[in-house]
Amino acid sequence: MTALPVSTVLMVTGFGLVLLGYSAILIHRNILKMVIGFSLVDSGIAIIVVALGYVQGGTAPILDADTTAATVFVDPINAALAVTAIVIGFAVTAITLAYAIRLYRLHGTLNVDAFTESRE
Amino acid sequence: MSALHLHPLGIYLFGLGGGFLLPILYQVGKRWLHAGFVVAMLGMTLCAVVPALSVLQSGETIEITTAGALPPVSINLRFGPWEAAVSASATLAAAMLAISFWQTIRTKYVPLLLFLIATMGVNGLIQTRDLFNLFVFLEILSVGTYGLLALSTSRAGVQAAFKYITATMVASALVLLGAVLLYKATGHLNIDLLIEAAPPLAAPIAGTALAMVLAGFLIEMKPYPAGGWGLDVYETAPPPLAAFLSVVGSAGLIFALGKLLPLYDQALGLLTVGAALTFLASNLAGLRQQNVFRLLGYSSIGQMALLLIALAVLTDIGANEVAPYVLFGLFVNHLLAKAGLFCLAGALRARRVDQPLSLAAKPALALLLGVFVVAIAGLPPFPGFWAKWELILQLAEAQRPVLIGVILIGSLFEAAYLFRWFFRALGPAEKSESEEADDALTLQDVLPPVGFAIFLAIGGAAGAMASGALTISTVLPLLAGAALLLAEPLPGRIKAVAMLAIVAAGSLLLPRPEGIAGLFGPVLLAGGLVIAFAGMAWPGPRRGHYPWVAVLLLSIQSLLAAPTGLAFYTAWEFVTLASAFLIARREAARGEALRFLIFSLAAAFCLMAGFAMIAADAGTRSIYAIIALGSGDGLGVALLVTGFLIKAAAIGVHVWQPGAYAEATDDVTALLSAVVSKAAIFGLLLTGYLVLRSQMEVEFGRTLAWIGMATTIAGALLALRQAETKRLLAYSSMSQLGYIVTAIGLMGHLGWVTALYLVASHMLVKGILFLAVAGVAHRTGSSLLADAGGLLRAMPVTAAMVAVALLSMSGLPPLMGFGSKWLLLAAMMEKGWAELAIAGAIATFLGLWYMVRLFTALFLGPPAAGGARGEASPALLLPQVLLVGGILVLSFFPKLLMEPVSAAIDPEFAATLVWQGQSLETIYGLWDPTPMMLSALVAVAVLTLLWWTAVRDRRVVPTARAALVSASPLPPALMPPLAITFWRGVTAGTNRVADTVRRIYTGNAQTYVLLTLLYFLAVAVALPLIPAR
Repeated sequence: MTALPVSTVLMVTGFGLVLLGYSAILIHRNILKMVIGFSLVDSGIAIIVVALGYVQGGTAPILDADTTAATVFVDPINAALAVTAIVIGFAVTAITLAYAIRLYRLHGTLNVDAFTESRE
Repeated sequence: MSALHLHPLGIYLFGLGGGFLLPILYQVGKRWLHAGFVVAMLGMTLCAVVPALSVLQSGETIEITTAGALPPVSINLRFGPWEAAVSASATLAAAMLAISFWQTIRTKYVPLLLFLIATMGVNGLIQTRDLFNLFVFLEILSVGTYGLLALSTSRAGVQAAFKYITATMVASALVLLGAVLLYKATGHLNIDLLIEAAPPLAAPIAGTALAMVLAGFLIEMKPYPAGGWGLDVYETAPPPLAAFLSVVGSAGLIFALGKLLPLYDQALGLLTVGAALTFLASNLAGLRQQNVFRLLGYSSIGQMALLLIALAVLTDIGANEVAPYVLFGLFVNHLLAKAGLFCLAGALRARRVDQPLSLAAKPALALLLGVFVVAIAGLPPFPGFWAKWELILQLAEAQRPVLIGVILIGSLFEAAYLFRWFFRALGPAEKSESEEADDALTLQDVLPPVGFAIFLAIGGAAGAMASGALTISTVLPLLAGAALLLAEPLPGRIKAVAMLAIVAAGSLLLPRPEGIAGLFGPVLLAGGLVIAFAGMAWPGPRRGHYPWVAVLLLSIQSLLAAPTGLAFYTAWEFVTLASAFLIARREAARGEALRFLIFSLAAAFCLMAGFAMIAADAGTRSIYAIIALGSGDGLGVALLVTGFLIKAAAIGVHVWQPGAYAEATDDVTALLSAVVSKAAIFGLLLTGYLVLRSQMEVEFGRTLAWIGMATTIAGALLALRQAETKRLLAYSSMSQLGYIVTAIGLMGHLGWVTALYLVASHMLVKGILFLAVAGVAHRTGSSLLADAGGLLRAMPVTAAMVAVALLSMSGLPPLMGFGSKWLLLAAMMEKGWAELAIAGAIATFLGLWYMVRLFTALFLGPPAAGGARGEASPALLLPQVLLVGGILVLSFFPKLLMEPVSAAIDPEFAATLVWQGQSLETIYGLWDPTPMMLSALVAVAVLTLLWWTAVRDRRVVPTARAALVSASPLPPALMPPLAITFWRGVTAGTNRVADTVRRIYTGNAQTYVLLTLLYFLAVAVALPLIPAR
């Protein structure tokens, strides 16, 4: 049996993290755990993005003296996209945590069920 | 490139540059910070607006490439006419909102920076042609928004911000994953190349990716049922920020979705269904919403859904020519009006919908709020009106009646809740003086809304021009109103004279209609001027009265002369709005004004839909070309008839009328009953011509005749039960209009001559009666029949006027009512409709009864306790004398009216005309009034003698009078208030559905996340199921 390509492993991991993240967001009442859920989703997506750019047997997309026409690269675009997404995800997570702190200060609780003053 | 060498790329330079510089400037000093923000914001605005003007002028797209390479190697931005128009308006709106927002954001650099960044993000969303870049700009807008939301300090505000973040994070994760998967499937991120590649919706990877991107952007637009988080933010955020999200943010989002739309050209139907659901549900839920800002949120979401419907449908049916005009019209209308509403509501500290804001005492603010509400409701003269008209006509051409229904019903709900708020806001607030002082508005509060209103007016004029409706008929009534508005500081009576002069002069400038309209025109103009003269009887400034009377009277003239459906409909809506605002001038009448407006708008929407269907059938929009072709479109004709019958207060849909007539100021009621109601009659006559040669003619006529007769009898019975003079006359008006409707239903020459004769007769009679009872109410201080009595001696002239009017209306000889009744009966017998003739006789008897009752109660018997202190004022009497003169002339020289009427009707009749070949003289041979009148005169003389004998016996009179005044025609059990019960049921049912619709918005962040995920799943399941074309 040949080993699974690394991209498949990454894909499974990535989607697994996304699903895990969303379950955390939907199951846990504690908003900190919800924020962790969103972080898991972000990480999962970053892994998927990178995995999608993987080329079997490809090398790092760096042009140097050894590079020939036959050299196969992994897609460099995906790495760029993943970095951008990670930066954005980081910023958003920071803001979300700041809101968690404010909510806790105002309500003395992190339970999401307590935050339903506006409705209908 | 413009002359100033401003380039759209400057938007990003100023946005990012400003963003980096502001923290440094903050260290230097507050002034530097503020100057830096102003320069950056101004720079962005100029870099959007100036190049936009040159792009729109030349039509040449500015392609912006980056990093010195061409796409797909680099990211490119596009600044074509579409991008230019939307970017420029959104950025300009953002700059104006910054003024409103200034007090809140000026203290720290962070909000200023975020505001710049968010505005730049919107521009990026609009201009970028790269899918991943689109995601980045989406996040820039989102992060900017998240930060700005921190300005809401209330508990609910912080909660709302958290919910907003969680839901939009789901949406952006979907866009990101979708973009990357699309890249995997197609090898492209460039949107143009993606569209070229046309990835199939059913492919496993590409299909899922497309569903993710679509769902992501749809969720960002807060669709029902996954948009509750948006509402929470609209409710709690500082109003200028809510405005920013509602109009500037949404502009970027819908534009982004629009540019991706070619990827989904097979899913346009699905998009339309989803948007239609959102539009309907949002506006339905708005009906039950009490918080002003949440209400505006519902309206915003609804309006964006409407824009999406228009976008999807116009793309689907390939209406590329009108698409820019419709889409940009709807877009800019919402942009300006909703931004204005949020800012104004914020400045006024509006909280709850039923909270009075004393706006009636602040006319300038009332006018501003009125402008925005009218614009959002899609009424003229604002851009949304012209766009919506074209949209409905396009939908009719594409045979989408269900969608027309959804749009119009949703619009009706929206108008209902917005106008309810507006009318409540006019009421006096219960506030102490210190609170009033706190409420003093600053320049920053007022400037942006005024700016938005001015842009709305300009946009409205542009829309009118684009739709070919910028004619003197549309403009003149508004100009007259505006001129009188400027004259508001003058004393009331001077304004009254000015108004009469302006209307008289203005009517000469308007095109002169021909045919039947040519008869209606002078009659209604003369009647309107004479009745409006009675306004002189009211002392005081009467703020807001004369401008609207001028708009009303001139719009009726425009309506009669309208050559196209749009011109007719525009004038019709002006008449509706002017009437509603005139009624609403009295505080006690505002509830009735709202009901009047809702029924009127329902009627107007029926007319719009009906006309659209018929015009689509006929392939022309000229009213007279359509009439010449005739129509067999059953639904279209039914809608037109329904619309006109609602306005004619036909039985069942009359419920708006008595209250409005009773509560409005007396001279306004006289105008409404005598003059305005005739517009509906004119419309019915036009519809009559339309079906004259079709299969429907007989069916149409019979139905109409019976509806008219039922209205007449019901109106008369209800009039008999009224204890108040104006209510009695209101039902009498309903009853008399019923006669006219019946006469139109006769669908023949004689019937229509009668209808027109009745129009003139009813106008004269009701003008007199409403002004006369106004005089009585002025003198006695009460409008109750029970409080009056014995006024014959105190008010002999009024009594004489009322006697002539009643005699004329009752159908007794020798006055003109007799002639018309005779004509009507003759026409019925001619058709062989004996049952109808019998019903007519019963109705005539009932009419006679309530008229004798009115006269007896007011003028006979012993003087009432309060007593009158003399005759009515000359300003009220003079119009009555003139109208009586009209009655006498037309009674004794009927041919003065009959001949032109007959001539006007004749050429319009087709070969089916039964009178063809007969001369006019022969037709009138049927009605030689002289012998009939003589014998009738004798009969009246005998009756009067009998009455006089009875009167001499002092014991008989009081008992007879009491019996006459208090007797009920039928026991109450036999006259259940069916119509009122029915409409109450409709209201209660609608409210119940509305409550159910909004119950899904529980306020829980997790529920919202779940709903957004389910929304995505629904899209992902539905999208691949769409069959490929």
